[in-house]
Amino acid sequence: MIDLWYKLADFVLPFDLARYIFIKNALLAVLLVTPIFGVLGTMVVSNRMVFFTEVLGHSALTGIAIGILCGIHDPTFPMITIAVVLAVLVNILKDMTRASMDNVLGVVLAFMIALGITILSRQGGFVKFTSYLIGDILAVTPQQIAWIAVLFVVVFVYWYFTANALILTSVSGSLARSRRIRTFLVETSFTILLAVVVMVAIRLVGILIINSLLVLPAAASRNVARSVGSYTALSIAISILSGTTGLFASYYWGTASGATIVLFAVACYTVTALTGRIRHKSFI
Amino acid sequence: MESRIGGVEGRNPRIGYVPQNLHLDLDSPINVTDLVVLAISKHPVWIGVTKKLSEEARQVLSVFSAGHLAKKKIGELSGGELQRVLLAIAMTAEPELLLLDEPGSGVDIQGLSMFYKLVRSLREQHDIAVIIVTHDLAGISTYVDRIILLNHSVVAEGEPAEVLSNEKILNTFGPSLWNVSALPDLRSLKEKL
Repeated sequence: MIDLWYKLADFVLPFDLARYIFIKNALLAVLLVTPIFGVLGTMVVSNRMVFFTEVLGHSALTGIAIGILCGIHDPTFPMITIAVVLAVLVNILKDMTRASMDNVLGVVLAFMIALGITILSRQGGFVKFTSYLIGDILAVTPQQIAWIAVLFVVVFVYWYFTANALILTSVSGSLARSRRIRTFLVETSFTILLAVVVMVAIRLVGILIINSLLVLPAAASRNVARSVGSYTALSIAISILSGTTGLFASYYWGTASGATIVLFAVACYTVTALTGRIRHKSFI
Repeated sequence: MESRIGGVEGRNPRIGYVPQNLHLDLDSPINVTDLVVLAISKHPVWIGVTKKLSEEARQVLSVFSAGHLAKKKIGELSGGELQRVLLAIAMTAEPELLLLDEPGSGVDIQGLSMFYKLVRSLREQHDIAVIIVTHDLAGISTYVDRIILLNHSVVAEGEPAEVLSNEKILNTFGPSLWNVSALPDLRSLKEKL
């Protein structure tokens, strides 16, 4: 499978890039992961879950730490477990409490980061884990790509069948319930999927900026979109565009790919924000 | 209103629900067609709405003279327009019971009385039961058969003229009802209905 991609990439990429297998791997990873971010991001932004996904990303620190305490070599499993538990708990809490979710999430964020760093910094060992903060998309392995490909299929199949319910729930929970949509189930399944995606992708782009990749394309699209269809399509397009341009730019500039991608996404956001304003004749 | 809905006892009625429009996320990048398609089909709207569905949505809307709103984002509608769209959507459930939650919020007085008339004609045409939750006692009283005043529990219940002429209730429920009592002749209005 991957060999087919390598051959295809030889045609698509300019010669100086096509020499490197790691660039081809990274490009494939970007092409798979950015549409996932584009599509899931639409609901993160619509449901005002931006702070929640920030917390989710940082919970990776705790996951890694607990993995190490338990003597597990590959931290992916404990990371996913912690993130999924967190996602479900927050969702239950959201329904139960009348306290501001902002405050609650702020406390959870502080706890997750502090616990993670406390455990990981024993005997001054935190430096080993800084790669998780920034991520390294150029180091992606074909095996990781295979996992991302599986996730790609899962996300889009899930979206095909569930997005309608999610959208209606997001517009009006009570209207959705009157249509016999089980809103708690719908929202919880979404946050669980989100948790898994974020944890799998964090190796590539890092804890510090994963949330930007999830949020920016959708936020940029929202500035100009006038229907659910255009909102989703534009979000996916912006995500892929900033992902690929950012990847190539980071290669030529010798910079961290994740951060460079985010800069391109911010540029897209700025452009759509200005376009939206001009269209509504409310410039400044 | 009868306790048996749809003529069958013990079965849950089909409900059409019009949510309070203040509780809607009006910032959503979702247009009126999307919202209607969400209600009338299982087609995933994120892929885009087909011509056929878009036409069906327009038909649903045009019954409530809202066809021209099809391409507008829900946040761009006036209170009255949004209320009509939500009512159109509620009616796609072919309800036996129609629930309206504070239809008055964000709607001007003229628009609201038009809306009440619309609901009344729906009730007559489709033979459905309608429950309206509202604070707009003055406005609603000429359009309904029964009023139930709630304040933690049932305070009063009966025909509008009966309920609204009770002085004790007027004192408890305050100024909004005083407006009603200031209406010229409530009984004659009731007879017209």
